[in-house]
Amino acid sequence: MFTIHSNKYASKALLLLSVTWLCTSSCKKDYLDSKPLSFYTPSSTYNTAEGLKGALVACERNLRYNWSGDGAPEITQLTFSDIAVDGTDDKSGPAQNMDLQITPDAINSSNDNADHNRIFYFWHQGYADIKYANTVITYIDEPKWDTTDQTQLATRNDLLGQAYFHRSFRYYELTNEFGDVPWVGKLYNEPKLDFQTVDRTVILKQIQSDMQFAVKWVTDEGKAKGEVTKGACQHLLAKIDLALGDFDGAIKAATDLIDGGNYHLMTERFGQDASDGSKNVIWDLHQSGNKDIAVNKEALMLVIDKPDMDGKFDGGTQIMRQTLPYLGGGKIKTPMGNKGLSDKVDIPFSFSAVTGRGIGRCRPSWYAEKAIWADAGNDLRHAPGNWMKMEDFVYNEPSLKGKDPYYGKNLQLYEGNTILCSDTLREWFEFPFYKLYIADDINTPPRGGNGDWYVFRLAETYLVRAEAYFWKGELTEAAADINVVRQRAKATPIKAADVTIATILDERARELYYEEERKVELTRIAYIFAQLGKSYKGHTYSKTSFSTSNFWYDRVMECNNFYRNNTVTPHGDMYKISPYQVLWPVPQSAIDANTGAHINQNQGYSGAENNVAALTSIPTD
Amino acid sequence: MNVGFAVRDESGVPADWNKAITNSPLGSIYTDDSSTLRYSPNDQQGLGQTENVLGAPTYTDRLKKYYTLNANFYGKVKLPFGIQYQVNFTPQFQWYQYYNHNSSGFKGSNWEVQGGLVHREHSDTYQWNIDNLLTWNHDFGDHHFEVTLLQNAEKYQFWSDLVNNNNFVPNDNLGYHNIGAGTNAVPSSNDEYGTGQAFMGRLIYSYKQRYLLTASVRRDGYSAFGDRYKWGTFPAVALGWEFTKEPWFKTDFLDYGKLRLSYGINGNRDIGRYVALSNITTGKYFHVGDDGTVESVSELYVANMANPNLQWERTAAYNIGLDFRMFNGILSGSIDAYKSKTTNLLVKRSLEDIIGFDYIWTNLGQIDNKGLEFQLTSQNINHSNFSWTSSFNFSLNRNKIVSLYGDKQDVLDANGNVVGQREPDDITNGWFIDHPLDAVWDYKVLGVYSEAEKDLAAKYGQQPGDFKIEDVNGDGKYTNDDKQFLGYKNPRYNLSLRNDFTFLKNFDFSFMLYAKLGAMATYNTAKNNSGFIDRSSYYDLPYWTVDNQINDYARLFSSDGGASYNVWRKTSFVRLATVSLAYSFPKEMLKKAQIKDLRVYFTVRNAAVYAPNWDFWDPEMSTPGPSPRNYTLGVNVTL
Repeated sequence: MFTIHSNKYASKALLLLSVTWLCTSSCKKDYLDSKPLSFYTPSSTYNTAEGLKGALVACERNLRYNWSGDGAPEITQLTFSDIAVDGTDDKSGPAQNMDLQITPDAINSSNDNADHNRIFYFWHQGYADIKYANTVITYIDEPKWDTTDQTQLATRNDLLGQAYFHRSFRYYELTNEFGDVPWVGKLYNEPKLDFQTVDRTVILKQIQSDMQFAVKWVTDEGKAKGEVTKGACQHLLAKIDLALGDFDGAIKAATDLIDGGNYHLMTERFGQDASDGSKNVIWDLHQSGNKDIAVNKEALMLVIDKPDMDGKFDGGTQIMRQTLPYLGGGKIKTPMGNKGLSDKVDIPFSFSAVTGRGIGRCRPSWYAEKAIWADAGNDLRHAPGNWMKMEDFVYNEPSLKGKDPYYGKNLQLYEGNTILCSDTLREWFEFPFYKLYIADDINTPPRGGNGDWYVFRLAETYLVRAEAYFWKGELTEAAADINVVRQRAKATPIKAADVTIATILDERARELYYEEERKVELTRIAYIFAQLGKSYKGHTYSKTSFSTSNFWYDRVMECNNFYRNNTVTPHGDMYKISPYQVLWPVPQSAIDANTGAHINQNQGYSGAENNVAALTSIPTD
Repeated sequence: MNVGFAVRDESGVPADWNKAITNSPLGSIYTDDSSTLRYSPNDQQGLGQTENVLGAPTYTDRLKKYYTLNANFYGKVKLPFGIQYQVNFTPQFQWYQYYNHNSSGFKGSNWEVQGGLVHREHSDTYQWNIDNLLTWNHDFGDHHFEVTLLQNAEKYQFWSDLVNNNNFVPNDNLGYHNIGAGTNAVPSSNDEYGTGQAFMGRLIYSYKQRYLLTASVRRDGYSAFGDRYKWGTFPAVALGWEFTKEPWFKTDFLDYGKLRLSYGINGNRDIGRYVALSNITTGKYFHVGDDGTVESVSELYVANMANPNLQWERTAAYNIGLDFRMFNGILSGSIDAYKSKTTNLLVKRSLEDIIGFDYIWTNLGQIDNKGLEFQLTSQNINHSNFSWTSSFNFSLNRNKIVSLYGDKQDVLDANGNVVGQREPDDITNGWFIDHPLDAVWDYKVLGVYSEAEKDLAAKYGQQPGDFKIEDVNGDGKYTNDDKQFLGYKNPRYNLSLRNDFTFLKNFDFSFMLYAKLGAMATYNTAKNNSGFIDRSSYYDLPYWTVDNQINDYARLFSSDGGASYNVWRKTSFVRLATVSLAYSFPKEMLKKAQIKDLRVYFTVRNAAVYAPNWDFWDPEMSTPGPSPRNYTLGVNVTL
């Protein structure tokens, strides 16, 4: 007996037929296979040279974060140094009182933003990029190279060398930020909770040997701007050699690079403004359109950021917002006592429309703003047009027009004995305009648009070599290298007899403001002082008392007036810094999560009492 | 065959609440021409959050629609021996359109600088389910049998594509209708595919309708799980005993009583379709050649860790329940108590930074749950002119993490001797052994430092007016040792009460109350240090001053000191959810007008909330902001 309870036999029959078909198709064995449609999987990606290059691009792109966005990580490098403080003086949160705010617990992802500090970024992003580099290192032989073929071997080793560069770059940062840190040498495919701290020197030796490999195999030829070059590898190797106290190695790596013929300092006018007689070579060097052009032979390694293209950094570099004084804060009065400035873009004399709207987050110290320029002379880096002073701006508040004779006149800080700016911390300071301006077509008022940035530049190579000569006591050679950089900027040469570590650091501050990772460099130098037992201005340092007495702290206190004077911000927060902060705290979250072994905390921070001996060799698991 | 078609339109552009609160009520929202919107009614520019709250709704043109077509085809066939075959086929289609234009006409905004922004998105979803069912019913005297066999298959398919563009030339007057006119197109697409399968057999047996037995077993497969773990098997058995049907059971007050007992294992597969796989994330970057050409290159990186062992979450639960009706139906209700053990809980486990992966989807050890549910309805008064019915519900659930990943740590005594082993907590994810999943573990706010406690505050780098955080071990620092279990994020008790009244024959009145008690939420607004209260408007909230040394709100611009803490407050509340009054016109009156039914009603939804410890918008809302109260005056007419 077979009945269909319907008067629409035809449609029911059709339904049953289609149902049967669906049933059979769903009964196939592979029916439950997972089918990724719109994304790639590792096994189908990293088996070609192109796929491995894609992993390198991730490293290149992430490197851009160091100098990009609101509260860019670079600012944290500067505020933990002699160069600057966080000038955001109207709220609680920005790292100003380091004793209070820089704790293992407070260094976490929710505080990793412009309103606090970016220490957590350097930890998190450091290990993230090490993973991306390890992706290439782990999968390097997936493409099944024929290594008897010299071309294939060279391609393989060039890729591997570039991956080593990225991993070494991040370890160079980490070891000079956190000291002894865990080593991750490969890509893991399951959670691991028993990482162990590895001695800093052991890590530096490993990345030294990795970079020696890279220098041998990575080429300059055939590399686009944005990729790792041989020059960048040589430069990084020189810095790692310095960190290890291998000064001859540093000199050799730097000399190979300087004499290699592929790079030279830019001493002649070039690029987009070359025909503008009012500009000069220092201006040309730092215009964002001039960094990636073939004629620029000074760039060793760049991060690339182009406006109006997919892949740009969202929101722009925001560099003027970070580094220019906060003119719009309303604390600047005319001599008549009226509010002097407006940050609107659509008014006469708008500064916002020209230089962008700064908020004074990165506030240079007296040292960086004034002291190093005391004898500037003809130094192009401090020349009018390149360097900007507050007096270059004019009172532009529209309501002043017709009411206040100072409308349209240049700013002045004093009228007689009366100071006219009630917040000179955040709203009154000078800055290197030639370097800090990037046109902005996404924000109004402009904050700083998308533009390239130097990671490594040959000028620093000279200063790295100068430092190596200095440590060896070869002051003539050191002075010669410093003077190569100075003479290009039309500054007067210095004498060999005057060369100290301070001379080198001063020159770095002039040449590499907002480029070098100053905290990393100062901590590296502090380690050298401790290793060599050398003295600086009457202080001698040792490894055993590193956390209580070190060069980094003495240098910061000597040059950074805000920390030295315990300046109190209008918000009521005090600038304060201590010797143990030569190393940042390991985020408590990393220690907590690693339940199978102990990760060490740095001395001075809570938890350091539980430390165990750091590993003295690279772990192999 | 049933077919349903629906269109949902979400084209409205809501005003941003955060902008609304920061806009100055004193500044003009228009420029001098009294018709063009100013970028910000506050005079200071550059502060995005004071952007004119009317800007986005005014200068956005949006079309956002969902079209859904649900169908259900079924056929039944009677086979020999009383067996019935049924097939259900339920296809579902959804089409989604999201076209959005942020106009460059919003002067002074980033939209103007970027030459107008357009987003065009479109997606199709097609999923179907098919059930093949065989059922067989038979009675042998007092024995009743029901057998069901099911075979099921399902498939999900999704296609979406979207394009973003900006910088329109010559202008963006055509809105989203000509996306090609922009000079900055960024296209992307995402397609997904997933399948599932199931087999089930169930036997229901009852004897004299007094004893009931249900036994079943299911076998489920899902494509999202790891290759070797696609399938899960889930048996269940339930017993019922309607003891009031027993001949020996004789009471006056109990009309009906049934005891239920069950045990079963349930599976959960509530995860994304591809979470077990390690997917390569792509993004664009640039390489610049020697000739100056900018080459767009793709980064390829692995974001999440693959888990080829990802499998079904299993919950084994016991349930005991009692249904009852008493006093001729005046009281009825049920009580249920359950205890369950969930193993292989599906979770997105955050990983520590060192390994470089942010997270992995994984199966977590064991969570135990127990709970109680109680439901009671009473017919309080039942007169022809006045009747009153009440219905009350109560529930609670308690859970506890028993195990996480199975690794063990030595437990040391004060002298460093190993005295035992325990599983370590997972602080990264906020999961603690022997504590519930929603435990709040944080520093404890004791109050606000008073002027008299100035020196104590200074010891922690703080000032009078800042929140005082308990330093449990008194070492002068805030570390994990000072964190405490402060409470729970989810309600501990849920209660609801509904009352229905009928009076004067034609009037209905009802109200419904519910309460969620014992949950906690963060209230960092009490720190008074977020936002720019010197430059933009903000809530008028209490704040500590020397002359007003309150204990629950900090001073303006207070300092967090050396602790990163949250201020937790209890959100316990009682809500008068609905109040309704209705009048039904007498039928005799309506007859003349040829109307069958006519009813006028007035309803207030969200009439009142009482939350003694929570004074910041709706305690039930996850993001702060007003929740609407709805007044409805309505008429129902049946002709």
